[in-house]
Order: sequence, then C-alpha cells, then structure tokens
Amino acid sequence: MTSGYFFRRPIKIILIILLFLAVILFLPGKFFDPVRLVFLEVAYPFQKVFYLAGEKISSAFGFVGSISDMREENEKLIIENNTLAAKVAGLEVQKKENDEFREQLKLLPRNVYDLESAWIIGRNPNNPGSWILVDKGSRSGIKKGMPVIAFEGILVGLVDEVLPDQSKIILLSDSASLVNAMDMESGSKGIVRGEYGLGILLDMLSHTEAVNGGDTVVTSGLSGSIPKGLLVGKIQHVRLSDDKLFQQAAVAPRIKYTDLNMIFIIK
Amino acid sequence: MNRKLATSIIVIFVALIQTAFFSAIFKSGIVPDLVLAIVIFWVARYGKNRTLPWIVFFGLALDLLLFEKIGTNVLTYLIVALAISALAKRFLVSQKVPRTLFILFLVVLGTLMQKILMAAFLHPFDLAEYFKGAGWSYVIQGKIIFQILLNLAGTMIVIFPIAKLEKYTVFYSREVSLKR
Repeated sequence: MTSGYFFRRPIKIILIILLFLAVILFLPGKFFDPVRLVFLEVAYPFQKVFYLAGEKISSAFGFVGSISDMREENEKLIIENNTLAAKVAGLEVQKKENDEFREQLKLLPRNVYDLESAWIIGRNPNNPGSWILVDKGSRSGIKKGMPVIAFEGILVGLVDEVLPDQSKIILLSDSASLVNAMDMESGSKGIVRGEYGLGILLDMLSHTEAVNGGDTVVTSGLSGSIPKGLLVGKIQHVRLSDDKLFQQAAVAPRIKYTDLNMIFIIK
Repeated sequence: MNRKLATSIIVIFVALIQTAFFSAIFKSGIVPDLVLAIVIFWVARYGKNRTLPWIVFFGLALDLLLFEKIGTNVLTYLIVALAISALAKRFLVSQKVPRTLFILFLVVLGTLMQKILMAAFLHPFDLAEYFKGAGWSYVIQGKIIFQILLNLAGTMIVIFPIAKLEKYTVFYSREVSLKR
C-alpha cells in the first residue's frame, strides 16, 4: 500500500460522504447556528426581496385563476359572516356580564395580548406546511417559544428560531410542533401535533371521552406559554391510536397556511 | 479570484431563487429544482472533479437557507452528482444515446434520487413511518410526476443562461467540450 493511497480521489470522496453523514446523524442541529446566523443576516435583504417579488407575481396569477371560484366563495362567506355576526352579538353580551362579575368579585382583568405584527418573508419551498419566515426577530423582542396567531385568535404555530431581524415559525402541521389543546365541546384534553407538514392530529385523548367530528379544538393553556382559548381547528374524524390506548382526532386547521401574508406574535 | 467570486454569486443567487422566489410562487410544496438542473449540467459538461467543491457549496447554501441540518443537501447533491458523473462517462462520452434525451433522463433520475435521499436524511430514524404516510401520499397524489415535469421545464430554462454565463465562471479556462 503506497503512502498516497489514502489521498486518492475515490477515497477522499468516500471520506467526505462519511463525514457529512456523521454530521447529519450525530451532531446536534444547533452546532452550526453561528454560521447560519451570519449567512442569513447577509442574505436577509435578498431573501425578502425575492419572496415579496414572488408573492406579487403569485397574487396576480392567483386572481386571474380564481375568478370562477369567487362567486361561490362569496356566497359561502356571506352566510358564514351572518352566522358569525349573530354569534358575536351573543358573545358580547356574555363578555359584558363576565366583566361585571369579575369586577364584583375583585378578580384581575383578563390578559390583553401584547402583539407584534410581522410579514411573512419566506416559507419552506419543499413543504409549505412546515415553517415560515417572518421579518421580526430579537431586535423586536421576539423570543423562542412565543405563540403565533392569525386574525386575532387562530393559533398557527410557535417561534422556533430567532435571528436579529427575522424569525422562523414552525407551523402546527410540522412534525416538531406539540401544543396542549382540548376539545371545547367535551373538555377532553390532548396534545396537538403535526404530521410531516400535511395535517394536524389531536392525540392522547382519553378513550372514555366523547369526542366527535365537528368539535372545535382550542389551546388548553396547560403549558403556560400559550394562552388558553386560541382556536386550532375543527375535528374531522376520530379513531383509536395504533396501541388502542388513546383516541386520535384529525383536525382541520381553521385557515390555509399558504394564504397567510401577515401574522401576530404574542409577546 | 474574480471567477470564483462570480461562480459563488451564481450559486447563492440560484439558491435564493429556488428557496425564496419559487416558494412564494409555487405554494403546493413542489418547486422547480434549479440546483439539480445546474448540478447535472455542470457534472455532464465539466466532469465531477472540477464541480464537486461547488456542489458542496450549493448544498451548504441550501442547508443554511432552508434551516436544515448542515450536510443534508450537501450529501444529497453529492451522491446525485456521483451517479450522474458515472452515467455521463458511460453514455455521453461514448455518444451511444442522443445528448438531449440523455440529459432529460438524468433529470428524471436525479429528481427521484434527490427525493429519496432527502427523505432518508431528514427522517433517518422514522423513515418507514414517513414513507407510509407523507412519502406515499406524495407518490399516489401524482406530486412526484409534477415534480419531474417542473424539473424538466426548469432544466430547459436554466441551462441556456448558465451556459452563457460560463465565461465568467471558474470552468471557462479549462472547459472540456462534450459536443458531438
């Protein structure tokens, strides 16, 4: 065996492959964060420009393509709007009574959320249900774990990584997402977890609880960092887990994540 | 030095177009893989020895922009490049098949390899569960066919400007022609 044997190109290539394999499998994901931080800070303005340019083009083509669906969607929205207006009227009365009772019993007022608005400037191109990138970061007081909502009360995800001027939000449908939640109708508590960016599952429900399709899923507030009562979605169907110990419910999110342009981070 | 800088700018520019621009336009989760197109073009035209460092750079740029574990895209495109290099040496140099047809075949093969390798590296410990669920739905919903078609279209579009920019890159002075 010559001294140059280990420097032959095929050996070098194999060694490089093995090195990267070891990095993927055994090195913690945060190891290269300083490198990522510098690279993303430099790329940030270009990332934002490219994404927003793409959004403009997508909106223009999307408008043309959706004209035929608009009439049907418009009718559906009018009916839904009227139903919701009626519900809101009833809820306003209950809210007023609730506030009066709280004052009489000298209870502290309900928390008002400190919201930070942020524009979406990127998303996972290979899996849009996985994560999004927003244009607010540590300079705006954003921290890891903060809940992220849309339309003032619909939970869409949690802050996962924070950079000075941008943050990565993992969506509820991402496999790494875990949120304490409950079935509003039955009160049954479980954990909402994502399924590879494709859907949301309400897992670990007790099999003695009556959980039905159409039930509303909201956050339970058990973790502490996520307020109670944020809307997650509606249950589509219920089944037993593979080990038959719990019930699992497929949850349809209230909004389509790819339609989002702006979100709010609860500080 | 200038050629290296120009090549680096091309790499980062293409990575940004794929991760930022296309992610806003193609919201279904299927975007044209321009990086794969360029990897195939460079490896088939200049050979793997000169292009491997730039393929590693491509992979690193994608890993950083996509918040993936460093090495995921590097390894994926490295393995795809090695396979393409072996096939190109076997068929392109010997001119046994029409060149354009063969490049399109490489794109199809590269797409399939890239998807399988990425799934394996992103879900190394729950690969079976992933293929049973999300991976299988990717196939039966026809998304893999759509991905292949988009990659073919992307290859046809990106190869001409990349060939034109060749004189600014590190490959220019020692170009190996594989023309018939």
